[in-house]
Amino acid sequence: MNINLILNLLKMTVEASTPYLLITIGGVFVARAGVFNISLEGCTEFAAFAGILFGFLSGSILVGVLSAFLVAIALNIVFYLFTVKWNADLTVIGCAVNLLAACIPACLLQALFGTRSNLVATSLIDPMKMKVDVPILRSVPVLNSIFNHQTRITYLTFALVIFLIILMYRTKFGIYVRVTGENIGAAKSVGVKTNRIKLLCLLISAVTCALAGLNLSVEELGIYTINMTANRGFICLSAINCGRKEPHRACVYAVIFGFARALQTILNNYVPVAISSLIGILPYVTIIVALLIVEIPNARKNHLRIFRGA
Amino acid sequence: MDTIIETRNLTKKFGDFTANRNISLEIEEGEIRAIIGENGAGKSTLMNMLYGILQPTSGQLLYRGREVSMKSPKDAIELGIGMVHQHFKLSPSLTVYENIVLGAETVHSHSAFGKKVPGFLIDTKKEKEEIQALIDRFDFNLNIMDKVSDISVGAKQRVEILKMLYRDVDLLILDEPTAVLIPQEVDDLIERLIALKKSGKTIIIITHKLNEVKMCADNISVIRAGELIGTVPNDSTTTNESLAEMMVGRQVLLRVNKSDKAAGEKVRFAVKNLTAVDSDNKKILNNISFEIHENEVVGVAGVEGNGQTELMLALSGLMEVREGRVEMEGENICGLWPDELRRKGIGFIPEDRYQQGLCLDEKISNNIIAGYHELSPYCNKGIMNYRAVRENSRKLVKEYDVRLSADLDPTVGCLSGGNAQKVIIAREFSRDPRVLLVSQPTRGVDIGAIEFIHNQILAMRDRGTAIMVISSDLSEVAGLADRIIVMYHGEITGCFKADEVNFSELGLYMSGVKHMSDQEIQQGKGGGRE
Repeated sequence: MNINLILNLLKMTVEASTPYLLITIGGVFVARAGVFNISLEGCTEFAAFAGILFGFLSGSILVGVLSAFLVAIALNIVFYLFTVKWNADLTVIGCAVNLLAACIPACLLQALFGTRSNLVATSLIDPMKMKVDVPILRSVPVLNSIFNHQTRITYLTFALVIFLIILMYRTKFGIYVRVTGENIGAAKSVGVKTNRIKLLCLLISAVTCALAGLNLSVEELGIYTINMTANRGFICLSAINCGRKEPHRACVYAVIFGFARALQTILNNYVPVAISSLIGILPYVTIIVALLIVEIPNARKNHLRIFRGA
Repeated sequence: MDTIIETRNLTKKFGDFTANRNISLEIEEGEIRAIIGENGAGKSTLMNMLYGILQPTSGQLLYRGREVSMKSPKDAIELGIGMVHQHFKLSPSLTVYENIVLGAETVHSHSAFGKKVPGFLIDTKKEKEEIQALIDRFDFNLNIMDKVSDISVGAKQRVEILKMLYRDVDLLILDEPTAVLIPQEVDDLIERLIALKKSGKTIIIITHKLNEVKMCADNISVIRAGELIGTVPNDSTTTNESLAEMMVGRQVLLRVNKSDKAAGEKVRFAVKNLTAVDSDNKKILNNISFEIHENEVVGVAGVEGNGQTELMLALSGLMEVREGRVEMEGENICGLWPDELRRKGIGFIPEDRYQQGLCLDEKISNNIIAGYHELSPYCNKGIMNYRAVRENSRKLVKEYDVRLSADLDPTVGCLSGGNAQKVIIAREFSRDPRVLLVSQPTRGVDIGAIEFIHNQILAMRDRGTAIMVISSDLSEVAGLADRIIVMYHGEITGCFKADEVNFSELGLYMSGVKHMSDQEIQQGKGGGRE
């Protein structure tokens, strides 16, 4: 096999893993604090859309980036108010956010630009210029081909993952998050403000989802297309689940899913069109296989009888 | 002595319901005060107000002579009030020391610009040293690096007490501290409490166990139906009987009246070498064997979490069994499903009455036939006959003394714990089962209903039913059973005749210190019949 092809695959893996890692690492905090948040998908979609839309309207990438953060944060604050503060059902609200994310971008695109498929902002954003050249990496042969010329958010992601893992395991905040999810009574009884902990976790997740959305739309393409997130939010939910809500484990799964996505992209170049759309299911098949591998032993362990077999 | 905490006309209402009415209580510094009362009398409500979990509807709260209002437990801790809850507030995945310092972690501090600045990371080394010193000072016998999920119940309670001592509280409130302990651990706790009192702490202990109150309290306050009935000094004029009368408002029998009728000869229900595993493939029931004769009650004693729950699940057909047989009059019934077991004439009173015993949103009439609903006359060719269902319900509600207010057929969720339990008892007992498997029959049930339930169980025994009673309350097991088996770590460690048993001896088997040989257990089996 061609060595360049492998290097290219690995480079693509790093690129494709970025949004998965971001959504996962933020989602782990929310999950660990005991909030089952299925709206990661919607939040990422909104951020991807807001980044391009406001960037395009204002003519400034910075405005686009800031508004993506604001939209994601506002969305998660609304989610917090409904679910944590007012005790609404997590699934219903999460579902509502995801449904909004599926229709509001299309609606606005139709109203503002008379199209329902995409918004091209390449006049403003040149995706090629989004890649960063890291001089130190140039002299290191293999690493250079894999890690150099990635986007800013990709590099930021590495730092963020490490920072958030430390935050989870070595700080007061991290302990409070874990206790809030494990035994909320224990946290409350020593005066931990559990609602505030949940809010902060949702804000962390808002920031990482916004970064993921920006990475997808602004950094990689300069284009927003409808349903750009392509279920990455749900895939990350299963990464969190497979990793048993532990950040480092969940991140390993996120990279596995990123690898599947990269593999699909590469294979697309070598197969006829008909098959290439079939290969499109590769990331999703990976999820099902990963979930099966993780969950079957768990199911086997259960000795309580619930359904009567034949 | 100064008063450390005082309440003046403290009242707490939940909607129309008054949980505490005009309670005025003074607690002296350095005493052990017991607060006793039945389940639902309002003891916990009162303590939750002293600890800032609940806020009073009206009335005053004075700490060291100053009026205070506490918005949260944090305020209480800052004042110097700590509480150990009945259900431990611990995080199982964290270590002992992490749980103790929870909420008051020490962080590294850095010096920047000539000032001390609190850092970001936790200073685990310093924390460990501090906690080790604390454990040594109070001689609490804990390993700081153990995970809380791996330590015993008694150790968990010590962690909870240390958590409060670490915060340097002067007043320690313990809510039902002995409910989950074996007799030795109870003695140990009481010694510790007396030692803490000598070191200057004030202790409030909430309980309904009168013996323990007599052992450690200086003064005893009794609460009934949300009102303070009185406070008496703990001296020779205060007897268990007089306290019980204050608690209930009428004379009660503290001992169960068992008939002299001997257990039968015939084995009606037998468990043979029953083994089951949990999700980690660990044996949670290990080679359990026992027999129940006609006219016999076998009590299962043990600290909770030693396999009693699983034994009940396995015998009621709710859990898979790895090996072994369960025989009813010689026929193997192991592996049958609950409805099949019911048809064989086995009745169940499950451990968790709301999870497995009742459907909270359904009416009494439907709950009282649940499990038998497909039988005539309630059901005819798949069509329910609700007139028969209602009639049956009316009859049983009267017979089993289920107390209803205006609504004659409310949902079970509206009933008190005792009345809900009576619904289950009515359902199971009215089918006249040949075997009755009972778990925690009186948990969370008021004293009056306890008396009724115990008498019903003993009446069933005298009618010939073979009965198994699992309970974490030792005096309940001893009061009902003819024979007691003790479970520890999923095994039977001992078997005793109920009338010869002594609690501290039982405690040694409950904690795994002693273990009878198989032969001795076999001999114990003969016990009830002689």
